[in-house]
Amino acid sequence: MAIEELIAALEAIEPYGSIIAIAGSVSGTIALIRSAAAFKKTREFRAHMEAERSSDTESLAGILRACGDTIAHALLVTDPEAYFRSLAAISMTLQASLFRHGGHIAHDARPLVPDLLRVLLDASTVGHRRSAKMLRTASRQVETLLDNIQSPPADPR
Amino acid sequence: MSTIVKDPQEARKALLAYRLGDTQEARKALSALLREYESMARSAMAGHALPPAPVGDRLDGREEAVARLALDRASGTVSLVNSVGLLMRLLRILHTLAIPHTDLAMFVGLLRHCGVLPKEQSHSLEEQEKLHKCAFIARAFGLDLGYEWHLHEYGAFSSFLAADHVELVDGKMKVDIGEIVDLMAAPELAELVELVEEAQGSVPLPTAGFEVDRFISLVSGKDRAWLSVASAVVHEKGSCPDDSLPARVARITADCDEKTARRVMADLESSRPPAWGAPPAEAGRGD
Repeated sequence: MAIEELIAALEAIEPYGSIIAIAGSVSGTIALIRSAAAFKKTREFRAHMEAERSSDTESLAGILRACGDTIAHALLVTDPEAYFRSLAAISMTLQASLFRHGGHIAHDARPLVPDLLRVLLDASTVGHRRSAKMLRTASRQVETLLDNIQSPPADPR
Repeated sequence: MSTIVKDPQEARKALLAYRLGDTQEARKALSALLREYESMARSAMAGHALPPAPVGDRLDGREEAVARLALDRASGTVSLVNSVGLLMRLLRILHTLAIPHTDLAMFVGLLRHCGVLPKEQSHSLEEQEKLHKCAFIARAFGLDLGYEWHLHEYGAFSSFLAADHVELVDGKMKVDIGEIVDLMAAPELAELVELVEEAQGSVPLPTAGFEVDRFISLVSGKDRAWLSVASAVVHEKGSCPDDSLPARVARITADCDEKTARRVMADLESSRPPAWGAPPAEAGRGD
């Protein structure tokens, strides 16, 4: 476009300058409001995720503590049927929780997760006395997992 | 210590029989002594505490009788002090025989003695992981502790070994391999040890048929990650041609790429595990 043509175009829109300026400022304000809203939503989302993460960590710690207590009680049970019912409940609870929140265990201690699940599985395949011995092992592993609970790092964005 | 042998007559009988030159009778008496230890082991497994290993330089009547037996046996070539010292060590071995899961306790003692496991016995993550992986790798070197094994993404694991190990740690039961090795090297007691071996079968040192030197030099200084991958390699060896083994192990094991698996496999191959069979011609499960 030649310079003359540009000057001519500017002269043609000169009478509408104020309207254009107003429209520009309105659209700028809308964009600003939208970006503020998006920023707010992002912050809300991050806060939500943060709360979710720490609640997951607390939930895992709570379940491990509760299972530790249940194991201690199960070890005192003398009736094999009642013992194996407790063992099944402990296995299911720990399995579900560790599968869902396994990322909340420190990386170094993560091999203990499949170890613990295996011990619980094997404990259900042997007699009461031997099973109790294995459950004592599981109890030690639960304690170690509790010592190694760690929230995964937050999204840096 | 008086709880170790309920009937001190056994030791006196052994001493008397030995003095009379009736080795047959002495063996029988020592055999009875060892059976006592076995029954103690069973009691310990039933939840009763194992009596402590002899410590210090004080002997009770039974131990003194056995010490005199050693002195007599040594035909006066060693002093009473020496024979008492050696007997104390022998008694510690006898105590070792009474520890439940003797083979595992000996293996743990060996790993600790060689610096593979930490000096202090504990239930730490490091000790647990290293013990499981080493016990599995040891199978390739001729030592089978008789456990069932399972392979998961962090290597080989045995629930039953874990349970026995917890029992050893909780009961503070451990074997000092150095003590046993020193005793075996003591010429004065060779005959007496031989007598015990004949009475008991053999002192279960994890050496017979076990390529212990090659095994220890392989696992010494290796970290948990290396041991995990190595246990997976040993587990999967023979299940597919060797060329595809690293790729297979990398797929199974967490935090392991093919290059790492190849390096670990080369380390294993260079130590020539005697139990490694030739790979099958076609791919397929070897277990």
